[in-house]
Amino acid sequence: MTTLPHPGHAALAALDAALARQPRQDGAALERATTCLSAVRDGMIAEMRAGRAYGDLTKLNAVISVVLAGRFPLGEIPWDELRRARGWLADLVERVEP
Amino acid sequence: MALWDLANSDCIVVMGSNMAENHPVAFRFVVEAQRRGATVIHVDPRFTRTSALADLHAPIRSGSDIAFLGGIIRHLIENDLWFRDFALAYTNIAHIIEDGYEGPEENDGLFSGFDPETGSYSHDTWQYAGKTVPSSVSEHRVQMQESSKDGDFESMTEGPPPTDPTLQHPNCVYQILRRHYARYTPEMVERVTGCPQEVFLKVADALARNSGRERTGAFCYAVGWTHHSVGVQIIRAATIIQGLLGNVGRPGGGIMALRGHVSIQGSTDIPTLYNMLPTYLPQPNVFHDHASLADYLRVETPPTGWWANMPKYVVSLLKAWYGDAATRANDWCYPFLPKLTGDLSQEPMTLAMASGVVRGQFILGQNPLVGAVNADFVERGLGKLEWLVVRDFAMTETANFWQKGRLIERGELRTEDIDTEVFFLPAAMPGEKDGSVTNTSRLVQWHDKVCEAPGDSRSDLWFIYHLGKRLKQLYADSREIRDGPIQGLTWDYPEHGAQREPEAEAVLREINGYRVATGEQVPSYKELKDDGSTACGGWMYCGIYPKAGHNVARSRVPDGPDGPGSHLGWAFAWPSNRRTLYNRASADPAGKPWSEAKKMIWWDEAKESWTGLDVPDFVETKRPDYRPDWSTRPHGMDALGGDDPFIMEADGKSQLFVPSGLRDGPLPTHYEPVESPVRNPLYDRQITPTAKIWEQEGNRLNPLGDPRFPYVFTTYRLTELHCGGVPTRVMPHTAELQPEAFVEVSPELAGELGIRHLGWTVLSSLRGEIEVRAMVTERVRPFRIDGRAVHQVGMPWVFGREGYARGAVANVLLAITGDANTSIHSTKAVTCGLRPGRLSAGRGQP
Repeated sequence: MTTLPHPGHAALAALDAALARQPRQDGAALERATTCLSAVRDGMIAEMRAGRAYGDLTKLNAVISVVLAGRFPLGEIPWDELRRARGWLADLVERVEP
Repeated sequence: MALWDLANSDCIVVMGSNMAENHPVAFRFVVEAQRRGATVIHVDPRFTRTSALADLHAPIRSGSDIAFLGGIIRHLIENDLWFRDFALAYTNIAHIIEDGYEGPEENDGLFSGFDPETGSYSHDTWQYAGKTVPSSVSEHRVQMQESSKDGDFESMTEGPPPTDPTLQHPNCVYQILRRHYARYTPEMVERVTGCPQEVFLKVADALARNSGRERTGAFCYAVGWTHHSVGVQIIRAATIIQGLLGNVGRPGGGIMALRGHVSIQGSTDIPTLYNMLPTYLPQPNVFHDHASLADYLRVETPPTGWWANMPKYVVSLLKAWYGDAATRANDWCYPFLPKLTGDLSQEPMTLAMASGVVRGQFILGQNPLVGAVNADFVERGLGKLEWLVVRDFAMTETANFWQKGRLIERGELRTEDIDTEVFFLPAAMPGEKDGSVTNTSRLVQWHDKVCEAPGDSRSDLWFIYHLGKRLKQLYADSREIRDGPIQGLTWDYPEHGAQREPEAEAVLREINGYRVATGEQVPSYKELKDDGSTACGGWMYCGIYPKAGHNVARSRVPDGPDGPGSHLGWAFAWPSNRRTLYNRASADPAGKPWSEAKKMIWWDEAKESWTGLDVPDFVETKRPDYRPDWSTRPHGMDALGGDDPFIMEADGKSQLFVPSGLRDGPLPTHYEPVESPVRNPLYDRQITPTAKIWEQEGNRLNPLGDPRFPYVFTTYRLTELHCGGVPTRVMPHTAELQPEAFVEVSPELAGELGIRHLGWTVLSSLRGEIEVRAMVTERVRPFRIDGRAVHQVGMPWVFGREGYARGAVANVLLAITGDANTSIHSTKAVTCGLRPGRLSAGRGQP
């Protein structure tokens, strides 16, 4: 399990860095985003297992899927979807890391 | 081609394989061919037992295969040694390519269409002039954007692609090939590969001499070709040679993909791969126009050729999986199919595991701490899992990584810091379960259980089946749409005995297919429908269980000494129990065998059908002189002539030049391996620009020219230790035959470094270091590359910490990288450092 301080904000920052470099892939930023998103998810799962509602796991998993699609693309990098995922993540972070 | 058909070859080139040692059953047919007078050639960096049995050994530096094969292509063309009647009629050698096409000679080592910003190619300029060619449906197709964004595949129904049979047009494939390989001269071959040019010329001439109407030749390869950053293109180079020489679809001709693991062919047919549905149907992709079944079929189904039947196979598959739940109204449950988002193959998922994305993992029939590249990276990833399930019949390095891992031994990880919960479950061995293996030659052979597995050991089928049942129970009351695929899945195989073992033959019957209304077996894939009336788990296997009680894979009736030698009564080869694919090419355009000596199928005018010694790979009643009526915009097989043998291609021609479907170029081109001590002598471009490189902490590549890593490093298997090693390392009688790991070092390099035979050495890369004893041997020799000596060392990758025969894990040294088309790793050509001595005083650290 990964523990990071403010992993949601760190994931947002990494995604922003990746989006800023398009159309070139920034593998390091997407790797960082993946690690941070995993930490957010770990925290969310721990909270849920403790019986506390804590954000939308389904939506977070969707964000992780899209970030992985950017990190390990088949064909073109899905930039539009990455931007949309960044928006979902921003909403989510606002709630779990206010 | 069938394994036994190798005996009909007049020349066999084994390349990318140590066939005599690693495929000894198959090699008997090479020996048989040699006994009948065939020339056997081994092209390999090492002198092995295969080399010893060959008539000629051609040494090449690991990773230089395309330079060698490209040299043969040039030699055949420039000396007019190709089989003109065959290639002109059956390949795209005369096809004219779009005006904008440029090759690496004109474009600084790149093909036209390369986008440096994204590092990928557009295929627009690779097309036949005025056409957009769909790639043959295959595992690579889903990686492309072509199917949803590019041009108009219907253009293939408007008329045949433009050709110039005089071969004078500057953009016909023949002229493009000439330009592309012009610099692959014997001198250049020697400069790049290290193979003396006189030896290279012997190979090229032997192949040419043994091809044509009366003679045929074959290539045999294994992962020595595939495990490269350009693995697909190496195989492509051989297909060009065989297309030019007429060695396709004919007795003794072909390219033999040697399958090393039990049922590895089967695991691509009924795939354990992420990007294919059974029998090579593309997995839907969320970023393609695949939202509905109609969309998916519209963009993925090639309009011309056999693959136009794809909708029948897809709908029948959905009916097999979802049964009554699949209706026309709900798109036959197509929405249940997972949609791809990205590359989910082993290498990216290993990286994702280290990032914490993967929370659990099942390991069945694998031992990644030995068999996967960058073993330390894998070990760290396993330590980040929440749970790990390993099924095997003996303890593996993977299952006990938390206790006896290399990083634990080195003090880099501590058991108490690893949270992964490991479940180690005993697995039944082959003789303890019913089932099939699909192996080399697409041959499916059934085997019966001969005894009960001891204790709690269970078959993999038992495990998956009962796991599925429990999942269905868990999700039975769910109202979530996402749980529909589990709820809707048909999962009702008969169970037998105290262990409630599911009936393996019932699975095979479902794979074969049946009529939904009656449950009657479907005898042939030609009877599958796209209206929901048939169910079929894998269309290419249809016919393996054609009627109740008849499991063709169980058949064991060989032909007698008088022939015909196709052995159609021995097991089942997909599709249709056909032994040689594209065997229409064994007859000339008029339907007559190219020669009496090399006949296989032919047109029988009296019966108005194709007949012969194999099951025809063609429409049985299509006359050789049939020509499409282009005024009707023909689709499917109607768009292919009676002299178009390559029915899975959109125009029925073998593709020497590939317009669509490959990510790294339409023609094989020599690039250096992702790690090499040599600058590319042919182009300024060092490595293929589309290779999948995932550099990150713990997975750095050795830089070109780094003095710490001056040697070429390659890995291989041993006859005595199978695959990941555990099955044979735990057996005393096989373990004692290869008791300890070793690295093979030439006497020259050993002398230079002060390494003694059986003395300790340390091998290193940026991924890790290992220590292993030296085998100083003339089996490996220094190469002279581009004017300087280049040393190569090699090591078996089959050792580990378990069993009686132990030793360093070679894959610690390797990096996680991928071929652009398949994402397969590079295990055959990387760089390393080597020194005498040990990692530290005292015990070794394998």
